[in-house]
Amino acid sequence: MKGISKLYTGDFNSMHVETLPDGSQRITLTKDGENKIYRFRVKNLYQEDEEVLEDEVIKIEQPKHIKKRMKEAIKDATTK
Amino acid sequence: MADYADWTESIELLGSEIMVPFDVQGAYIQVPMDLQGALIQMPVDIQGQYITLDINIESVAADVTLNVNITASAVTINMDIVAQSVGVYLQPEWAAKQGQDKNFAGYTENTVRFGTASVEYTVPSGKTLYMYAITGASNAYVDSNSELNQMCMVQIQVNATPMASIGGNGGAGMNFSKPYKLAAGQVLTLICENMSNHTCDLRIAANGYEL
Repeated sequence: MKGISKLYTGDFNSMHVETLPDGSQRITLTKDGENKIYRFRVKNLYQEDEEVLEDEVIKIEQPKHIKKRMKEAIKDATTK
Repeated sequence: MADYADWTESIELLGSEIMVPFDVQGAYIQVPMDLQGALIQMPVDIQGQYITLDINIESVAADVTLNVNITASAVTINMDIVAQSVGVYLQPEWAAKQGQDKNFAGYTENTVRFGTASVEYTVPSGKTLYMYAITGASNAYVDSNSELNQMCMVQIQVNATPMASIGGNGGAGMNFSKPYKLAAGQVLTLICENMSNHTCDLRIAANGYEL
């Protein structure tokens, strides 16, 4: 699902809107339990001439080095 | 009520294992219980090692309404819960737990006087939005203005009608004494407006839940 569809269906928990110097808005939507960020740039949101200029879905992944450290920490905690 | 003779019907079951299944199946079922009297007492005393009292009400086709109406000159409701782990949630907390919370935030950099950071959201079909808190912040865009007053005004609007406004130096925030309710199709607008005489970075944030 594209970001703009997420917005219109309310299928998100957090919405961040950054208004840019050209008047367009960069909107970021996230939903609990989904490891994705829906980010899109839109001009004239909710107007008749609304136009989505950019649209991307970013997968959120925990960095490998953090994963490794957490695994080690759990191992430490269980062996002591 | 007419005067009738006193009547007592006791049901006493004694045994090591007792089961009294009550299974009713039908297209239309009514189990009315109408008690009228000068003194009515309905004690339910359940004691045991393992106790499960499930009340499951499920309607696939329509809403469920469970009304508890108490009318009296004095009402006392005691809830005594003794357990190692008990969670009683207010609706905003429960909504967050259920993944129904809605958090909005907005940011605008280098905004002139009376410029705004804003968020606009139209409540989708079939949903109702409740908003219960708002915050905003303002800081000078240019370093040399950092020690000046950073006046701003934070406002929540429903269908372009201001519901609550609050001003502050550097920021402002408030929890509403009751949530603002927005039905499907209604527009939520959140703004933080620069009231300083220099350019500022503005931030707005608000919290609610959507059911």
